[in-house]
Amino acid sequence: MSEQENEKWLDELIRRSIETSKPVFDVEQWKQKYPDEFKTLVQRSSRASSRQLKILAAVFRHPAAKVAAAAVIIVAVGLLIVRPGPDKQVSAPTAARSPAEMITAISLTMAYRRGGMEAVERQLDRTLDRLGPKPMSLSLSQLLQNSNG
Amino acid sequence: MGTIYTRRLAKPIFMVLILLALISPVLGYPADPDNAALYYYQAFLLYERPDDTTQHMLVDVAKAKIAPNEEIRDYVDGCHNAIYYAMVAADMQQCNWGLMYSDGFSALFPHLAQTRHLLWTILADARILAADGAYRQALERCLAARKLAQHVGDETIISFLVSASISQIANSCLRDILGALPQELETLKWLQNQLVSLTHRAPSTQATMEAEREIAMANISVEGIKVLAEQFGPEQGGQMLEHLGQVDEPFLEANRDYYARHMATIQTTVASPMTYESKFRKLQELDEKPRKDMAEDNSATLTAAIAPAMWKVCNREVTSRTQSNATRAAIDIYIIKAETGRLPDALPIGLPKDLFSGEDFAYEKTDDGFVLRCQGRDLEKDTVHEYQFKIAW
Repeated sequence: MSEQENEKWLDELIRRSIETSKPVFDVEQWKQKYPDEFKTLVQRSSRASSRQLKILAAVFRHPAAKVAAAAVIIVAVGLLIVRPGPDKQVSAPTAARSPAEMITAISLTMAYRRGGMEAVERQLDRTLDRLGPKPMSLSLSQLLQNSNG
Repeated sequence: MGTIYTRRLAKPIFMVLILLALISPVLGYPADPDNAALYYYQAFLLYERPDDTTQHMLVDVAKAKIAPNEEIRDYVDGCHNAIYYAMVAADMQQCNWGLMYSDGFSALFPHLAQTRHLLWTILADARILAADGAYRQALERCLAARKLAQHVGDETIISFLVSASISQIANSCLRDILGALPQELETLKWLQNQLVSLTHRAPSTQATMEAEREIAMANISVEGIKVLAEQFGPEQGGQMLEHLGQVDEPFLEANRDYYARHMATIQTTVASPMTYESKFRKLQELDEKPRKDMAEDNSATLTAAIAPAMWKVCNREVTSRTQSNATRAAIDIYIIKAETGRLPDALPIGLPKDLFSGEDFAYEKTDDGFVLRCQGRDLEKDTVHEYQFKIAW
């Protein structure tokens, strides 16, 4: 895979992993409200972008670094999924999962990272919904009665 | 010689025979379990799964959003065996859920979902008992729910969070019932002692981190990443798995080292005697670090994905403990009211504190009781918690 293909793959993966609707950001209004921050940002942006490119280039140039790059991509995509913006809640792909898969350590941990305690509680409640009914009572005498006909 | 030997043995043998005769009825059947989890598991098997409407009503009654109605009374009455088993379990010290932590990320926590339903049933029963004037029994249910929270434990962060959540819900119920309780000094003193004993074995984040670290360390592996990938569904997860062949052992080893160092710093911070605010800020800073480091340091990548956001977890602990402290402080005030006939003008010295500020709660009398207000701000929720306590007499 060429460097360009690699970058395209990454872009595509990230694009599909995050919310595609772009937030509306009024630059002029922000600039007027925070003039100092704007100035600092303009000064930083040129330095930051060249640094990021350098890192990215280094990662994809070195064959050994590709290993790490894969993990960076894995985690970066993971983070984009599990850390949505404050107003957006990315739904977990839980619909097709079995109840058991919804109550693993990692599944509950990820639910917490996604939406805090409320998400964990929702997931636990959904699990319970699918676990099926339970008997009201099961005393020894009832069991004996049943087995004796 | 043989006779002397026989005589010497005769007495102990006789004693043993008497002892066996005395305890034989007890040994006639297997001993009851001494593990609370075994009773809880039976409780989970002994309630009938309610339909959706009943389930919602049950939660609403437990949270006092609606008064107990006939349908919920019938449902809870049908769950009496489950409640009985939960009450027996609550009084036990040991609780081992038998979870397979060795499965790491894939370890199953089936009890957590069931525990929440059991909680709603116990608290709905508490509300019914209180509505019928059986306050002492209602408070016993609330205490059982608090003990259930403790039994859920602090072996992992998720169990700790569920435990803290249960504890907070149970505390709210207890506070409401206290507000309706007639003047019963004996009951108040009993409750005071019960709550003190609960404080001694409260789950903590410090204990949680130890096991969490071990589980994560063992799962920073190709297999662990596979399990992680499953969380993202077939499309994204599948793409992650496609690139998994490129992850090698030196990369994983470096990531394990980074994770161990990161968690050690967090553990030191959590255990330090910093103020709430300093600790909160420091933990937030530490939470950001792996994500920042990841840009230039590949060993930080997996820590960024799996390390727990401890500032949130610790905040939950402070919130839960502060609420418990407020309840304990309030009981002291109720006792003063019961003994003197009036509420104190100022908060007595030496009561449990607001853990957000490290100071006493701010105390204020109201028309129908009193309020205990935190003096420090909850930095995660950006709010100041206050707890209202009503007085029925």
